[in-house]
Amino acid sequence: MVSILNTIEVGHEDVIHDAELDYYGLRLATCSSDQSVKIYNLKNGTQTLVADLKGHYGPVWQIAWAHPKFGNLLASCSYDRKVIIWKEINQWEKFYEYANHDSSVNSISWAPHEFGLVLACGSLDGTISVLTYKPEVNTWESKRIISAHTSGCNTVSWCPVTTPIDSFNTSLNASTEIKKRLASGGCDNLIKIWKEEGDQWIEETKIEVHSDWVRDVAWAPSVGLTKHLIASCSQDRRVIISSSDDLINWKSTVLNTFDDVVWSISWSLTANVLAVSGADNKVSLWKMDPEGQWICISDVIKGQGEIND
Amino acid sequence: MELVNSWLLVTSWNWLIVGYWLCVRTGYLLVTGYKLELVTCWLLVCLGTGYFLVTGYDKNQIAIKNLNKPIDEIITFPRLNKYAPGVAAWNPNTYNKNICALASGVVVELLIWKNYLELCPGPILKSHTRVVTDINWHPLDPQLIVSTSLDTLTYIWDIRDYQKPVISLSSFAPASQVKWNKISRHILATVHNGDVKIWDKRKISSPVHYISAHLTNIHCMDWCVFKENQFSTASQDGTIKFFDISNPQTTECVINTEAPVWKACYTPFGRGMLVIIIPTPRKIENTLLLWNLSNNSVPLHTFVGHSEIVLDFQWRHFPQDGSDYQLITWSKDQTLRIWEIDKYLQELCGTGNSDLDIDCVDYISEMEKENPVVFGHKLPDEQINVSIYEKENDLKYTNGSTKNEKSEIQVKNLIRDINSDSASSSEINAFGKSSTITAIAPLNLQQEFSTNINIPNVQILKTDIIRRMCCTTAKCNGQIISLLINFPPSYPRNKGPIFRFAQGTTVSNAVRFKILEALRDTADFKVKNNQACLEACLRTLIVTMQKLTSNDAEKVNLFSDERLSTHGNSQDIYYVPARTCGAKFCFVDRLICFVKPLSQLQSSDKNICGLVSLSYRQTEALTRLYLQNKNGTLPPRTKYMIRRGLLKRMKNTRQNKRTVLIYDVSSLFFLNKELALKYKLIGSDINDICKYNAQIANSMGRRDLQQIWNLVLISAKNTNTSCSGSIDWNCHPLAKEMLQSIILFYISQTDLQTAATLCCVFQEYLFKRDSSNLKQKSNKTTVVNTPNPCTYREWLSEPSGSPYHTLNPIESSVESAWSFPTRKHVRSSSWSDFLEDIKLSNSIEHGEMMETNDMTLNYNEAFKYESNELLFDRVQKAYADILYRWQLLSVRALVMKSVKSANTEPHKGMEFKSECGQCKTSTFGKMCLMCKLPTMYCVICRLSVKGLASLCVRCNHGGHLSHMKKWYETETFCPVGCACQCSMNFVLTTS
Repeated sequence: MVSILNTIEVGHEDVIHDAELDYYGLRLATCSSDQSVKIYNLKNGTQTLVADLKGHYGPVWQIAWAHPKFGNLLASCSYDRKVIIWKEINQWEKFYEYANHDSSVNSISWAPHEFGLVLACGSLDGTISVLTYKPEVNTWESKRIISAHTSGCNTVSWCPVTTPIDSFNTSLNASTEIKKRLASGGCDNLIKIWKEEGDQWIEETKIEVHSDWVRDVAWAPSVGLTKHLIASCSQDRRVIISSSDDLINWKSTVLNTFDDVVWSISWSLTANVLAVSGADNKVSLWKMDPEGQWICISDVIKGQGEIND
Repeated sequence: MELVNSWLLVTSWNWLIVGYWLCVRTGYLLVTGYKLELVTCWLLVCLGTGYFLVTGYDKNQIAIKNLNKPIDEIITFPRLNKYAPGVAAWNPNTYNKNICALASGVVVELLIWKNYLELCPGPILKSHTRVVTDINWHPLDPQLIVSTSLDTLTYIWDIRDYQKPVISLSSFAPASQVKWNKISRHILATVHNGDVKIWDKRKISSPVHYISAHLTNIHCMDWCVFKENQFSTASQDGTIKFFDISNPQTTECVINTEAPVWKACYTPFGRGMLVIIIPTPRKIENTLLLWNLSNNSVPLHTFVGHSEIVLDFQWRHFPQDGSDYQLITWSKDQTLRIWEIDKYLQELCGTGNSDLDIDCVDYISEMEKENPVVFGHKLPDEQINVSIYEKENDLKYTNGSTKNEKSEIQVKNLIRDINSDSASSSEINAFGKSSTITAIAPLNLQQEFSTNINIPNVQILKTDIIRRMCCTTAKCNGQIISLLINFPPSYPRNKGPIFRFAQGTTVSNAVRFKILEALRDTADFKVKNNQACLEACLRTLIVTMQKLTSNDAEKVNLFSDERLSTHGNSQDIYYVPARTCGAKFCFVDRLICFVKPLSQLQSSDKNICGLVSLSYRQTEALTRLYLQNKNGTLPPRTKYMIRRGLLKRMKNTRQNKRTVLIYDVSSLFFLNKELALKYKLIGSDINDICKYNAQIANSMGRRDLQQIWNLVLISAKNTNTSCSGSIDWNCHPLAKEMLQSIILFYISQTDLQTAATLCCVFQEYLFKRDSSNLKQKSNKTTVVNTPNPCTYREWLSEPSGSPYHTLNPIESSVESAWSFPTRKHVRSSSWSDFLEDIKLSNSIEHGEMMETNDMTLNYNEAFKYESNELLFDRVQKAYADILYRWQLLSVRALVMKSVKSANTEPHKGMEFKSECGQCKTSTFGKMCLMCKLPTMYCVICRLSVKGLASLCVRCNHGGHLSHMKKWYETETFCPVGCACQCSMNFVLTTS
């Protein structure tokens, strides 16, 4: 049912922490504890190393491709407390460096491209910064959510720009400005929803469902959905799906309790499949059946890092 | 008479020094040991040829000890400065050798050792605005001392004029160390994280050299004793590098120690280097190594003996015999050792003869065999501490007089006590040690109190080690909290401190409760992990307080730049284990997976290990590596480093290749690129499109889709018979609803492709209003108020069902009555309640949607249609995005064409206007609006251009695209003959 398309041997010297394909699925970016970010061109099942980006002085935790309408941009965040935005101008180079965090930057996420070039960064120092590119003056502006999560923020995820449509909730007033919203999870076991109000970010609501550090939060793409969905995973080994009509009241259901700590979750583009991976080195895919129950459709990948060669 | 030749200087608030001789002849070394208890922070400084120990955080006293007479009494002196001394240094010059400098807080104190009896406070050098990080006496000029501080300034003082510094050197980043060149009297160096700046005191405006030595922090920098321009840097990255300032670009040579280097100094004899390394976790190594600089592959000698990490060392030289050196080391095992470096070892360091070949392996093994047996044990039990404390009190009183027999006896007693204590506790200790190797060793309370906690708005007023309590105040948003923290005896092993609010606390009870809760949480968490919690608790205190009081005052200043200082922040110690396995959906139908290679599953992450099992000081140093870089950027990575690192790591990683797997998970989704490409979206006859698409679906093996296309074909056909060419579904009882429900079904199945394609094909008919009706009503404005969503829904849940049942049928025919105020009168009371909630702002015009005959149906329909329309639009947009990703741009354009609310961004690029030859007005069109003449003529055929045009931006000549294209296939110059090389500057435009 699911086939391996490519096995890419990355030249990293240490553990890989993140990998992502770009918008067109043509390039792969990876980052690792060896402090480097690598970009590969994928063509006809082969890969060529395009760039080996060095600039971080600590393990690089996460990378994120920006929407291509802004050019070829890649953001990376690291234990060295820096966020670097790389840009391809003939060749890959550092475009912007943000070093105002006081501790490891654990997560980054680009806002929906409709908002422009906006990056959210969650750090272990408990703050979230939102970096906005001002093309008129070619500068980056940063806003800070101070003490977002008291003992560290682990993850950030943006609310999609297309809000789900409730068949009755049709405020057709197209002029209503869609507000920027962020979901974040941290070491205080909370998921918080932030809203940009004027030029400040305020906490809209928080979801208290996990009993240990929240490791990943993912806001579902809302195409075709009638509700907002947020998936979250935690050190408490649970994956929880929270849903809401109004973004204030969230109803949570446990998708599953896993055998080990769950590290990351990812929604498919159509928001019907969820990929879950955790400390037990397993990846599983979950799909919602027509009754709204989540079923595991495959345990595809079990420790396949060990490829026979 | 050299009675006071060697002294030991000790300052401690509750100091206790137990010196006992231990002379073990091990091979070539005479090892002498002292055991020092409760001396937590110390400084080893030299007075002439004697050695002194100064402890760090004494508030009241300094003590001096003669090293040559270990059983001799300790002399104590009071201190005035309340800050703990950070660095201490004796003047190394013969003249002024009795002056000791102590850096404490923002000042540098000078102390004068008078007549070998008395330590008198001298002048205070006071100009720095932040904590002084390092001081260094000039090695040749007895009057000069340099100090550097966190305020980024480096001052050179002449102690004869102590009012203000003689020279001030300013750099952007604070320096951690400052060192005078040992040979050249004008040169000095400052260390900034991984960089070294070389200054000449005759040229103070900027550094002479800026050397990016390491990527990581330099822990120790030392000038060479035999070569003027050479210096060494020892860094966290496990290397010691040697530089020559006459050629600063290149590294002279590198010693690779495989572990972070804490201290590396040139030996005063020969060409050696003595190194302290921070041991790698799980492996208790000998950390004190001696290298010969001519052989940088293996250490020459390893000093074996200390059971814990060596913290510092100093050299001592006996002038009676010019070649005899003693090494004094101080270790975390709280013993002081004196090692005699005999001539043989000195010779091995290459005294005079650097080509001497050395084999040191035997040396080490021999040392290990004869490892000294009884050396300092920690006192794990608190009761012992207490008893010592009492005795030490006695000791203090008697120490005032120099030659007191009584005190000697007491010291002896004390030694005996300690020895027996040590013996009894040695077993426990050995056991305890093995268990604490893997955990961060908790600090004892005194250590914790002594840690320089620097949190804005929080002040530690008083710490009392005896009563185990600490009093702090925090100020925030005009509120004050006084907090008393009591540490139970078992803290920090399993019990957290007790918090109490003291008098002067201004916050309300509710806030107090919340703060207490937060504090307990933090403390419990820390204690559970066997960590010290004072600093973390104070941070929690201020953070919670800020949060709570700002809510109180409604003065949320979330984005203020004032951040908590994280100097020495302990947050990094609780490290979030890194993701080593992950799966991510990317692109349209790809799943990226990476997992940790199985062979690595057992080993835990290196980064966390790096923080484990190190002393507090080292942990701090490690965290500082990442934390203190805030002010300075790290130096660029040198090529050498990369190559070296790569080679080293390649060996290790050969076996387990790291791979990223890309899965094609398209089977999980209903998205097919080929279908997207082949589907027909527009055409003159909708029947043909449906037929064609059905065929395509069939050829792709999607029989289900073929059926759907056939189904919609039939519904299209049925209606098509009545009106030729196009469909009029308004007459059809079913088709429109059916099609909408089909599309909704596909959306619910997340089959965006089918849904969007259907939307696109039937875009004209799906939401088409009855055109004939529209015409009839075109002169009447119909207003439908869209109800507030929630009221509307509440209202629907009423048993009465439809909201429209009370609607007077007559009303509908009276179109003029569809204005807002009149409506209320014709409704029942329940309806009017509902209307109260209606806001005019919500009203939207939907004139054409109103069917005169059946209001009820149309109301529902209107809502449904609106929501569906919006939904379908979004689905089409989402599908368009997918097509974009597939780079099917023309298909995407067709899909976007049918999107109604496509809020395409306004065009921002260049636009071309053409100017009328007659009236000179410019226009976008092909005709001048005023003269009605064509604005653009083709230079080839002399006719006006109406379609695609191409013109040169330089000479403005151009014409029909086809003509220009043909011309420039063979020519490069403009056809008019204006000598413009047009082929270079063409633009396309439409006229």
